[in-house]
Parts: sequence; structure tokens; C-alpha cells
Amino acid sequence: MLIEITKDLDQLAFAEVLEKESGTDVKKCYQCGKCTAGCPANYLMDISPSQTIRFSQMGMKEKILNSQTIWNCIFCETCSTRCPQGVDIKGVMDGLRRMAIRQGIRPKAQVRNLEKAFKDNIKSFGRVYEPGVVLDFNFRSGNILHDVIYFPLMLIKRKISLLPHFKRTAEVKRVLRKAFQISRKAQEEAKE
Amino acid sequence: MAKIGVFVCWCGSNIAETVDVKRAAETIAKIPGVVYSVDYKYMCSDPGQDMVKNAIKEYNLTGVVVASCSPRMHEKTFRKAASEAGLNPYMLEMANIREHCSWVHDNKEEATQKAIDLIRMMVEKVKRNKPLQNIKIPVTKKALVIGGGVTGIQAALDIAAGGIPVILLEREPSIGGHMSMLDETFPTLDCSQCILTPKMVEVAQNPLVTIMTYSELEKLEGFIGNFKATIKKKARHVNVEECTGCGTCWTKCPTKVTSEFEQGLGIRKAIYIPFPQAIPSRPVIDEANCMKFTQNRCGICAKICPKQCISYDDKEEFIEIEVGSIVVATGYDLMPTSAFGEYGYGKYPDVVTSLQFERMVCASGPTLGDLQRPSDKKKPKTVVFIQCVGSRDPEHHKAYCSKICCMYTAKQTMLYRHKVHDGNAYVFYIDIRSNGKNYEEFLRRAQEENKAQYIRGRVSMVYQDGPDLVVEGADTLTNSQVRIRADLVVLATAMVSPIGVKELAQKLGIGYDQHGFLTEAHPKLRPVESATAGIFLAGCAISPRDIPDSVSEASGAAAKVLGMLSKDELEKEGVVAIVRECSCTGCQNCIRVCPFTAIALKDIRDKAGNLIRQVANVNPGLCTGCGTCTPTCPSRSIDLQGFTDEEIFAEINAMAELH
Ligand SMILES: Cc1cc2nc3c(=O)[nH]c(=O)nc-3n(C[C@H](O)[C@H](O)[C@H](O)COP(=O)(O)OP(=O)(O)OC[C@H]3O[C@@H](n4cnc5c(N)ncnc54)[C@H](O)[C@@H]3O)c2cc1C
Ligand code: SF4
Ligand code: SF4
Ligand code: SF4
Ligand code: SF4
Repeated sequence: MLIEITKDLDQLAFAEVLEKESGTDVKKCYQCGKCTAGCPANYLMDISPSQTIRFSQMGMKEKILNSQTIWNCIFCETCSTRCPQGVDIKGVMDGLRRMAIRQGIRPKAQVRNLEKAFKDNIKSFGRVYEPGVVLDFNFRSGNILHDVIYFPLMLIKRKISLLPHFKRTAEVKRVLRKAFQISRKAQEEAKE
Repeated sequence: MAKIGVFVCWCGSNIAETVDVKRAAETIAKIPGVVYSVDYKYMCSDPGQDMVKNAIKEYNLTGVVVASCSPRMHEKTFRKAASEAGLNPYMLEMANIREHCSWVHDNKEEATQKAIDLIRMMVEKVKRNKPLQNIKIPVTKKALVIGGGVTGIQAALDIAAGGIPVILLEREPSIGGHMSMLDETFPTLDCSQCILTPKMVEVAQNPLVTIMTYSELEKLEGFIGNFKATIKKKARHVNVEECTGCGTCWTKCPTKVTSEFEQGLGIRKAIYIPFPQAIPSRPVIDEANCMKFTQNRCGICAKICPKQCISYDDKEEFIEIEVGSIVVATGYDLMPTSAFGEYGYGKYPDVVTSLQFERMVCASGPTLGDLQRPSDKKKPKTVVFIQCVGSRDPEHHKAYCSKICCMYTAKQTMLYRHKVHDGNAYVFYIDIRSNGKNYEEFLRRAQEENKAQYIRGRVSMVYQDGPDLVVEGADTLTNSQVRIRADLVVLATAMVSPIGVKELAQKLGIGYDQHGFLTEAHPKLRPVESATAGIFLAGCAISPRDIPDSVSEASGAAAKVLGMLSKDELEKEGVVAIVRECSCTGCQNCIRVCPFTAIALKDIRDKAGNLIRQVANVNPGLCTGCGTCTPTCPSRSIDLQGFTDEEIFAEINAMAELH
């Protein structure tokens, strides 16, 4: 790989756009690797969290916007909580996703399926009903038995419950509707 | 007839558990010459020491053996006690029956026998011991500081503050060293000249400090407390007393020379002061370039000097001074950049060194602080800084880290951004070493606020392409090659020992490492001392360091000098070598091996003053009693007092007779 830095290129321009998008200054990262060390989703990523930050510093926009990393991040915030330099890595991932979507980059079908399953699930139940998400996801992706083997153990350990709990469904629906509206509007504005 | 007293110590149970101390004392009592032999629980305690003192008086002892721990532990204690009782302290010996016996054995029978042997050996030795006197060395209460950088200036000021006169020796026309060339300094960004100039003035005005510039050490003789230094004052060709520093001469001098002070970026004249704040503010004539010397014409300066203080006939002078102590603060130089062909230094005018960059941004520099690149005077929009140039490259250059380039590079990116707000500063580095108070914070500021872009990797090459320099390097963090088009490239070249320091160290008889940096007596516990007594070290002469460290060491060395010179006489042990002149053939074997250059030839003359022959002669002030010389003498004419051949052989025979 070769990074060409010409004279009129503002190497930090991308970092600055990203700062506006995510509210965090990637220049602060000194590449200690703490974020990568603790990331539970790193095994799903083609670029590690710390490398994502480094690529941002070096203005390697295309590389990160086209990566799987930004979509496979589960937003657990372990990285942001631990970063000694106060870099909000999760925020960066989030910002990068928005930038990617605005550029017309779409995640792989699997990622989209999970997102749909998740969104529909909270729309109907007001909160996440995990067996529902998984089953929905499995139907959408055509692999009905995927991960089903874990169900009994998780039930016994009370990690999931058999039946959904409904929680103020109507209100949550209203909140979500509003949120989707805002996000659609923002996306349309961005397109113009 | 010898009357020896022997005192066997139990050391609580340390010795007594493994050695039958009673039997040892009884057995030793039977040796001829031993008139008193006793054991006791703690010989080093007050009652124990009293036993020794009383026995010396009561039995008129001529020698004492204390059989206990290592002499390193308590020789001083017991010798002091002996001398208090009126016995010459060198007539007391210790037999080490603890470290050499009870602690390393478990068979009581054998350990007891060994203890008896050890004591018997010391008894035989002490019978032959001769009383020795400690050596008193008078002290010249005056110090010499070599090198007039910030380190030397600080050392001179601190020594003078203690009331001791100091000579500050500098080989350049002005004091100030490298610090006077710097712009602002990390980590506080205070202007270097603004903090250094007051110190330079202070040292110049201090009545106890004599500044000798344009001068070098020619020769050093003598030893701690009594050095005799010969100083070579190079011909300045200007009468310093008469000159007022008006500047007429250097304004009118027609010969332009590239300025060393400006790192080749500016011009000076053949008669010059290196920089406006120079101390002394009196010019020198540079013989290598002055037309009067090269072509025997011109002579303008002598004609126009209103005070007529220029003389082309001045010759170098040699001055002898006597000092008691010396501080070496000869600082550093940057590695010659000719070594780095791949970075194009010398080939491309816009590849500069870090010191050149300091001059380029400095308000008193050749462009008065207006940053221009050398080739076309344009303001550089993109600057690439390369760290570790020559440092940390054991295969090609220097293995060591120059310690301060990380910090001054961070500083220089800031200075650059302060001048060119929209400029890009890139730094190629392999690690960042920011280990000082507020240093890491400073570095973060360079990166976060001043937007210096750090790229982790070395540069492979720099080449010119049209008006641009192209820098090809790597960023190992993204696993990429990086190619940057730049206007200016700054090399953080390795700090090295200045030319001439090895020769100086040889004159001083102090050590230096393979890089020419001076060696400390102990890297941790005696960091500002050389191995030669009375000569101290400070600052970058030891290894690369920054101003705070240099100045601390200067004060440390000054404290050592003051401690030494606060006494009227120095006292050292009488254990020194002595030459039997009647049999010495003057073969010089001992002179060659003495690690402390303590032996020299001495002339033996008849009454008429004719030289008869030469013999070795030991300077007791310099001799450390190491004993290296004695076995090299073919005629056995040099002996170490306190450890004479006779004494040592007596010990060996005492053991041999038994076995
Ligand atoms: C580019 C650059 C930037 C720097 N910036 C900073 C900074 O921002 N902050 C900081 O803390 N440090 C900085 N430093 C480091 C700083 O320059 C040194 O720490 C400091 O100058 C060391 O002082 P010194 O007196 O030991 O050595 P020097 O300044 O080298 O002084 C030694 C003196 O001894 C003289 N001398 C040498 N040999 C002999 C001899 N044989 N006889 C007589 N005289 C002799 C020399 O002429 C010289 O005047 C920087 C260094 C560089 C290269
Ligand atoms: S928020 Fe994303 S990047 Fe950060 S630790 Fe969690 S999964 Fe990894
Ligand atoms: S934890 Fe923070 S500083 Fe460390 S690599 Fe990750 S983002 Fe950079
Ligand atoms: S990165 Fe390459 S050039 Fe550098 S030390 Fe390692 S092997 Fe050598
Ligand atoms: S004893 Fe050591 S220091 Fe003294 S003269 Fe002999 S070799 Fe030199």
C-alpha cells in the first residue's frame, strides 16, 4: 500500500470532518491498542478498532468506509470507556457508518438482515426480545437453525426468556417513529 | 621483639556457631610473639574496642590482629581504636573469619582449623608491618571549568558562589555553546537567548570568574588538589582590553565567510564576533580567511580601528595556571550529515539539520525569524522532520539514542506551525521518548493542538523533483509506504562527542567510551565524577541530554568541587607504591602499566649536576595503591607499602609451613 501525500492535500481534512461527524478528535490517538485489546467484536473485523483510528488519522477514507469493521462493531463502548486518550472510538464507528450510508455504501446482507430484525423487534415489543430477533434474523437469512443450539442453556441460565415482556409499547413506537422520521430527513438533506 | 595481641570475635553467633573461637584464641596464643589472645562476643562494640585499646597499653603491643569480619566492614573502626591507644593504625590487621570462613563452611572442625590458619597468616604479616603515615596533600583553592556552554557557565557560577575562584575555558571566540543557537526551548517554549544571556552576563561580571575564550588546554600535570594546566591562548589579533566592541572593523572588513554560528546559513566577516550577544563582545581575526594572512593585503581593520587595537603579529600564548579541581563540560556536536547520502543533505539545499532549522526560525537568525527555505526563500508549506538520523542505527552509525531529538522535533513542529499557521508538519519517528517533567504533555500538544502528523517509520530516501523534495518513507501503523511532497526536510541528526574531546581526555587522564563520550566513575552513584580524582564531568560531554539535565549536573559537579576545595589539605591512605632507587634500572615497565599515570622517571644527578641515570618515581598523590606495578618490575625495585613482598610472603609461608 502507498500513501501519497501531496502538498495541497490537507492530510487532516478527513480527521476534521470525522470530528464534526462523531464529536471526537482522532488526532489524540497515540496507537496504544487498548481499544483493540478489549473489543469483543474484533474477530469479526477486517480492520481493528485502533487501526481504524490510525487510518482516519492518515486520511485513508475509502479504506475505512469500505471496511466490514464499521458495520460489525456492536457499539458496546468498551473501547471508548477504556481509551486513555479519551477518544470515543464507538462514536467514530457510528460517524463512519453515517458517512458510508450517505455515500451509498451498504453493508452486507447479513448486517442489513440483523438490523431489520432488530428494528422490527423493538417496534413490536417496545424492547428487545432476543429469541424473536434471532428467529427473525434466521428466517431472513435462510438458515433457520443458526445458533438455535444455544437456546436451552441460555434459558436455564436466564440469559433469555421464553416469552416477550411488553413494555409501554405504544409510547416506544411513537419514539421510534419520530426517530426514524428525523433520521430520514437528515439523510435526505444530506443527499441534497 | 614483636608483641602481638589477637582478638577473636564471635560476631554473636555468626562466627561462634561455626568456629570454635575459644580454641582458636588458645591455639594462636602459642605462636611465638603473641603475648595476648582473647575471644569476645562483639569486638566492634564499645567494650570490645576498649579491650583492644587497653591491651595495647597494658602489654605494650607492637601489632594487633582482629579476627572478625571483612576489613571492608570494620578496618577503619579498629585502626582508629588502635591509633587512639597510641599504636600506628597500619600495625593493625584483620583476619576475615566471617565472610571467608564461618559464612561459607558448615563443618565446625574444619572451619576452626581454617580460622586458625587465617589468623596465623595475619600474625606473621603484622609482625613485619611497618608503621605508615597517611598522606596529606595540599590543595590549590581554585577550579578550572573546560567548556563554556550552559553547563560550564552554570558550574562556574556555582563554584564562584561558594567563594572559590574559577577559570572558565572556551575554545570558541565566545561562551554560550549550543544553547545560544537555539530558538525557543522545550517544554516551556521560553526563548533560549533570553534565559541564557543573563547567565552569560552574570558569569562575565562575577569577580571570581576568569573567562578565557579562544583558548584550549595544552597540557595538564599534577594530581588532585594540585593540577598544573597549560592553556593555549590562540592569537586573537585584537587587544581585548582596549577594544570597545564598536564594530567598525567587522562592518568594514571586505572578506565574507559562512558563519559557523549560523550553521552555514549566514555570513560573517574575517574579523568577527560570532553573535551579537557574544561574551566577550570583542572580535577575533580568523587567520584562515583574513586576506592579511592569506595574501598579505587588505589590512583595512587595523587602519580603521579607532582604538588601534588590531595587531596582525599577535602570536598564540601559553599560560600556566594552578588549580585544585577541574570540571569538564565540553558538550556535543551534531553528527556530520555527509554520512546520510540517502537524505540528500549537501545535495539539496532544502534538506537542513535541526540546528539549521533553529537558526531559520530564530528571531536573531540570518532571516530574523522569517522562515524561508534556503533554495528560493519561499515559505515552506509542507515540512518533513526525520528523527533518529544516525541514532539508533548500530549497523551503520550510532547505536545509542540521542535522547533529546524527539523533544526538540516536537518543539520545532510547534515553532513551525506558529510561523506558518496552515502549514503541514510531518514527523517520521520510530519511538517517541518524552521522559521528563511535562514532556509527554508537551508532545501531545504538538500533535493535538499544533496538528503535527506523526508517521511511525524511517525514511528510505529523499530526492528532488522540480521545486519539491520527495520523501519516501513508511508508516508501520498502517503497513504502508508513504510518499510526501515537501518544501523542506529537517534532519534530527545524532549528537556526538565534539572533535578534540578524545585528545583532551587523554591529556586529562580520564576515560571515554567508544563514541568519545566521557566515562563516569560510576554510572549511577558517581555520575558527575571521572575515575581520576579531582576531575568532574557534566552535561552533554557525558552523553546527550537536555538543558535541565545539563544544568543539574553542572550544579552537582560544582558541589563536588566545593566539597573538595573546602578543605585545606586532602588526606589519603599511606598505602602507596615506593621505588627502591638503588636497584631501579629505569626500565619503565611500571610506568607503562600504571593505570593512574602515577609513576614518572626521575633524574639522578651527581653533585656537579650531571645526569647519572633515571629511575622510576611514584607520585603518592596519584597512586591509588592498586598494586599493578609491583609484579612487573624485573628487579623487584617497586613495592607497595602496607602490602610489601616481605609481608605477603610471610603470610604465604605461614600457611605453607602448616600444610
Ligand atoms: C536542534 C537542537 C535543539 C535543542 N533544543 C533544546 C530545547 O529546546 N530544550 C533543551 O532543554 N535542550 C535542547 N537542546 C539540547 C541543548 O542544546 C543541550 O542540552 C545543551 O546545549 C548542552 O549544553 P552543554 O554546555 O553541555 O554543551 P554545549 O552547548 O555543546 O557546550 C559545550 C561548550 O564546550 C566548548 N568546548 C568543546 N570542546 C572544548 C575543548 N576541547 N576546549 C574548550 N572548550 C570546548 C564548546 O565550544 C561549547 O561552547 C537542543 C539541541 C539541539 C541540537
Ligand atoms: S464499541 Fe465497537 S469497536 Fe468499540 S469495543 Fe465495542 S465492538 Fe469494539
Ligand atoms: S485506546 Fe484510544 S489511544 Fe489507544 S489505540 Fe485506541 S483510540 Fe488510540
Ligand atoms: S522494520 Fe525492517 S528495516 Fe526496520 S528494523 Fe525491522 S526488519 Fe529492519
Ligand atoms: S600501586 Fe597502582 S597506582 Fe600506585 S604506582 Fe603502582 S600501579 Fe600505579
